[in-house]
Amino acid sequence: MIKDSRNAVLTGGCQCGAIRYAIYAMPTEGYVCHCRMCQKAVGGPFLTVAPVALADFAWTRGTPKIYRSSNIAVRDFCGDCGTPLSYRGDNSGRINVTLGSLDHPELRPPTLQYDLDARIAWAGHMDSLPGQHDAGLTSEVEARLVSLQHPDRETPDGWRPSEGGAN
Amino acid sequence: MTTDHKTGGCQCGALRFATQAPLESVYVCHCRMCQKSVGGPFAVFAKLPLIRFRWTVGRPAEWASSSLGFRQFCAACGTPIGYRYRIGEETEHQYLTGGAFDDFQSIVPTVQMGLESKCHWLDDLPRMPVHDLGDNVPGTIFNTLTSYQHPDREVSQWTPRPPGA
Repeated sequence: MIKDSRNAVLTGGCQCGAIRYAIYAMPTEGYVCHCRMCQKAVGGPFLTVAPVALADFAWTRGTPKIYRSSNIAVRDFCGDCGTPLSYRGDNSGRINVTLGSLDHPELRPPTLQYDLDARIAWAGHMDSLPGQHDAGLTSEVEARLVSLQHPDRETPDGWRPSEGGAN
Repeated sequence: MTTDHKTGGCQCGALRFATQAPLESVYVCHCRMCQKSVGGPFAVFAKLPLIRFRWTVGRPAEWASSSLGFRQFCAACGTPIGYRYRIGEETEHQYLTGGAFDDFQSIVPTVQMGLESKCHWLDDLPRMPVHDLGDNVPGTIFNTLTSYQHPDREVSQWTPRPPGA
């Protein structure tokens, strides 16, 4: 794949690392969409994305699979691990990149939300949900955990999880 | 069929599932692996014993995200649909993403895990400014919208739209 000479301001990719992308201009906004189509595309209560002009975006490793969810838009995802990567409106000139697929999602938090009418009730008051600081695994299971997820940084082409773990 | 029977599936309809009540638990997980697998700030999962679960249409693709288990998704549309453990007692359970249920409003989490990885902006969500969908998609386009998504109910005949632009 041809490497871009520009400096990326944001990078990201799918969970398994088969697909990587770069963004060359900081998106001016991020947003949450509560519509039922976005819910279903991510299997959750809402989609979170940042719009990027196509001229400021490049796939730097692999080619995503494309699903046409309607007559006006497609969604990119990794065919190997399923990670939802984008929403792209036809002829919009931009790609809306999923915030969770960014290496550093904290650099581009959402600032506005769409379709509040479709919002799932509990998504409006998550702060009232009790919580805990771990994934709820038993210590026996935790001891056997080896992540095979791509690290949250750039890696050389051909990167694979090492024998001892992904990082 | 009991009234607590639930159904669901992926966005394109190539995968459909059915569960028998009750779900054992519903939870949110903020861990970085769950974030990445759904491309968002957290995953929401419903958990139930395998004996009360079945795939009714298609079978998911699977990817081992760790030594512990597999992420399950639709190979045709990418919807993250489930998780299953590959070791330990948890292999007797199926995990399903909350948004994949037809009756998704009824899948209400009671606990959240992995708060150490929580995205801080989630605290601002209740007060985040709201815009109309029409601000994002021009009305002339929005008015022509035809969804290719599977409806949120069982249908007798359905042909998923194949992958591709």
